[in-house]
Amino acid sequence: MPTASHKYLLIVLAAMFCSSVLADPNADREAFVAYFEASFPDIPFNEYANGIYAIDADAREQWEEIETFPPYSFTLDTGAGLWNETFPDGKTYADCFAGSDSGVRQNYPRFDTHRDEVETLETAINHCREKHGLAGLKFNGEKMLALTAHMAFVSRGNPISIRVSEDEPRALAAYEAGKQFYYTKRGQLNFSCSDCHVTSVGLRVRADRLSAGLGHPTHFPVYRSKLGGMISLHKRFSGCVRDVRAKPFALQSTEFRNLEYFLTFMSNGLEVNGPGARK
Amino acid sequence: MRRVLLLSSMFYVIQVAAEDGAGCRAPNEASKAPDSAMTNYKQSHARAECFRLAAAGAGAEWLKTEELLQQSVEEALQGNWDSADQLVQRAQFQAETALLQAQHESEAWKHRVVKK
Repeated sequence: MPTASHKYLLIVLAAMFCSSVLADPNADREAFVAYFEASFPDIPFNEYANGIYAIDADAREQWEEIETFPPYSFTLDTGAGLWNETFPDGKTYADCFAGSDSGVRQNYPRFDTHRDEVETLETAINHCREKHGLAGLKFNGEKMLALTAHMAFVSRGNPISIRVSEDEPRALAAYEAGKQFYYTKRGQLNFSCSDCHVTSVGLRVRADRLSAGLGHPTHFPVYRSKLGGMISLHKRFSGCVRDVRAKPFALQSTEFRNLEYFLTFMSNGLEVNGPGARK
Repeated sequence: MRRVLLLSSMFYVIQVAAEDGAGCRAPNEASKAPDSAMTNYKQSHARAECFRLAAAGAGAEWLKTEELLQQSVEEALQGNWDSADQLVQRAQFQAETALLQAQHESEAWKHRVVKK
């Protein structure tokens, strides 16, 4: 016969199980968007794709000037050249990415049920290369950045369409892990992603204003003026983790891929506008 | 199931390291003999490294902990035992605090999720 304490334990375990099973990504996204709409009622939803330039008028003016002669234009030329290369077996990248003529950036990251993990655009490119007999590219190397910049450019205007199927527990678990990462404080400064990019949006960190988490993934890879080159979204994640004085995870680690899965799902409906230019 | 096992092992490491340090603390007190400085340092370093690895295993390692340990080794190699020991103590403090942070955040993050 189960004792009262056993019954209590069963109720607690059942509640924990149900709360995990009943995770609702769509409800999360609606709440996330509603939070920013309430915080910045004058900013239209589509503007969040422009990151901090949706909020900081002075910085926006400078950015619009920079975009007149985009600093990533040479990278786009390189990317187009790489995209059209033929693999040793006669195939091309287009054979791996169905519908790539009109852009595929908006569909990544996705959950790969065969590999049982989140597949980002970068890992998909390397899976494609490996399938056709080529070595993978470095995740923040020039070739990878050029290819992803080209693929983002071709996808401009397509609304982000990340799927987190509630019928696929492993996808849901990856999404939940990314969500946990986003809201977890870490590092010597004890900050979470959300501390800056949800609750402190628009406030200053030194001379910079903090951007909204909504829309973060739409414009990567970006050209960063202070670095004089392109960086990937995961390189930016790594920089943020370092900034709070925590040891960063590797680029394309499970942790960062899950984080990208969650964060990009939050931006569903915003248009792809990469590659971008930032300070 | 793999995730459950991973979480269980993580919490075990956190419990062991953060609650009583049984997995990392040296069993004996440091010797007071002057010629045992190196032995004492090695024990301190191993203990701090154990905590650092536990923090890393929990995905919670701080940025400079490993660097502090490396600096302490450099000091020890030059025979600067006091300086080496101070650096080890700082590293261990960071690693233990990182573990406590991870333990606290394993639940606390849920209260920050944006809700309607």
